Amino acid sequence: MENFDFKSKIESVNNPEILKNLLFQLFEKVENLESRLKPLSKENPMRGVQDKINRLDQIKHSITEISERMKRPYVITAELQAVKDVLDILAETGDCNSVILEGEPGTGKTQWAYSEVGQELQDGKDVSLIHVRVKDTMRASDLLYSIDDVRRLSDAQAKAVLPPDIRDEANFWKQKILNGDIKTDDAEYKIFRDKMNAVTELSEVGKDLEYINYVDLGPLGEAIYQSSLGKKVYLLIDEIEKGREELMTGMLDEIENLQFTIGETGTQIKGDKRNLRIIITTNTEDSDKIPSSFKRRSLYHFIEYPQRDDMAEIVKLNFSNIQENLLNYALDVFYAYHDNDELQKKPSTPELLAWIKVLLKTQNKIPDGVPHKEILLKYLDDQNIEIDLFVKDSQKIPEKSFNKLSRAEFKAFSGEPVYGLNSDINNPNEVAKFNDFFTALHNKGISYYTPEFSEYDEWDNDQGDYIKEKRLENEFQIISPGIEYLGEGYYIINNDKLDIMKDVLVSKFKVIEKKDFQIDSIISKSKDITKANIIWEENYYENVTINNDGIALLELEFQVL
Amino acid sequence: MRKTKILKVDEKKITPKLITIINDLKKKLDQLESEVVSLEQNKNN
Repeated sequence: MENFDFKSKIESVNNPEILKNLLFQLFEKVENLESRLKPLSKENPMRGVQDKINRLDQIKHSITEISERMKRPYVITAELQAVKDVLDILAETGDCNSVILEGEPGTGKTQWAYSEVGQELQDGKDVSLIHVRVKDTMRASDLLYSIDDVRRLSDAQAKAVLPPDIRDEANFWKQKILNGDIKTDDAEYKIFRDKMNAVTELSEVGKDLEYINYVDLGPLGEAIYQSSLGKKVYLLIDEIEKGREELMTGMLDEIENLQFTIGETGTQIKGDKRNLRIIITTNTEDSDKIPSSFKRRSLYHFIEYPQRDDMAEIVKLNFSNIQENLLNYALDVFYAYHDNDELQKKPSTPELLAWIKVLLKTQNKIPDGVPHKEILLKYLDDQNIEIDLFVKDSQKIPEKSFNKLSRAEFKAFSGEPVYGLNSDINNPNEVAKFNDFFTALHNKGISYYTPEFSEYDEWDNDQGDYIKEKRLENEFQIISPGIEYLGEGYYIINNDKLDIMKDVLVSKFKVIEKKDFQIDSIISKSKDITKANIIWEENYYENVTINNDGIALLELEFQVL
Repeated sequence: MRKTKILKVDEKKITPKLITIINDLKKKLDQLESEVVSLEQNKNN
């Protein structure tokens, strides 16, 4: 189990005493259970014990999350608020009730769920939050339910008047299950189980021993069950990319249909889509591990990492007294590291905030170098990487440097159908021609942001006066299952959604195998990509991206096939 | 580029939900404890 510094986490919480006390109680209980489970698991790698350790670990994780949450104000972006509104509408109509949030660590994916629940409670609604932190050992069936056979056998021995031979045999099977020698669907065990059932059914305690009393619902099972009772539930499936593919495909049906059967009792549980919201988070680096069948069934939202201006706001919300020059210094250092691809682990928002907290306490002027680097950078190798803080703005690396694949390119290389949108849609002078398209989206019930513009005065030399100009504030963006926004006007669009979009698409990415094209001349070369002019099918293409495997990517004019 | 608007969530709105979440966790821990008790009994038998 990971090292978990509970006490310091809780002590630094600055919320009301009552919350702190509650957390302390939980903390003591967790510690106590941990110390009791440890000797049990050492003696015997018992299946039942491992399950309990896993559950305890999940609870611990939730407590950390809460104490983190209590340490600083939570900031939610208008963007996420909009996603939530769309999800609510789709869930009400029964169309879709899950959303995948993708983003770097520290973009607030997890905290979003907590914050949503908070707002609903404030409105007087009865809601709950079930938080699953995905691990690679998890099986889809664990998420639904498990049967505590050991407890049932013990109860049968203690409560029922069992014939001696059955009592002894119960002991035998109990040990087998505890030792992990057999699974509870073992054929021979099942025969014994039926025999014992037959005996106990005749006795007074038969009812107590019914399987339904020994069902432990897993997080997904619990969420579906609660939704069936009319209770509103948020299920947060955190860092799903850590799970194996079987886990994801294994729970696909249950997530979509909110229905499962407990085999042992024949009980069928059918949830209510309107009451359940499923929030799935994934880190950007590993998001391609999520099967596309999974993505198709969910809303999808990519949270961009906060730009410098936004980050300055976030820092100010946390440290209202911070001086402007220290803030600028801290952001210079932070982004120099954050944008450096050589790092093994880039710092993210929590590290930045922790570092600033220390700076405020220890530094009374702007430092020359980077003190307390270890807070920002977890690896020794990373700490040895020098950053140049004093380059002029004009010399800074552009936001999207050429040695990195764009998100759209990355997805296209992985075989996703990536399309480019007509950029006129974000042009204030052209946007009017898309009105029919917006109406069509509206009629089909597809949610989107309309592009938003603001007006400003610009000096016009020819006229010798100020004229009104328009500037783009919010880009057009679709929020819908089956359409995944990649930023910069690119989308992954599933085939069934192509028809609606065809009038606004202008290009599609095409992957060209090494043997099918020739390089005419190389423009630039970096660690991961080469930019070159190439010849493919007798046509000349300029400035084409080629990856390390020698595969080229063309952005071709879109034609409906 | 889209400009992200930042909204600060009201702490007062968060506190009651945290209490509920903490209470839920407490219930889960209680359940876990009763299961641990039965495991310990099993071990002793």
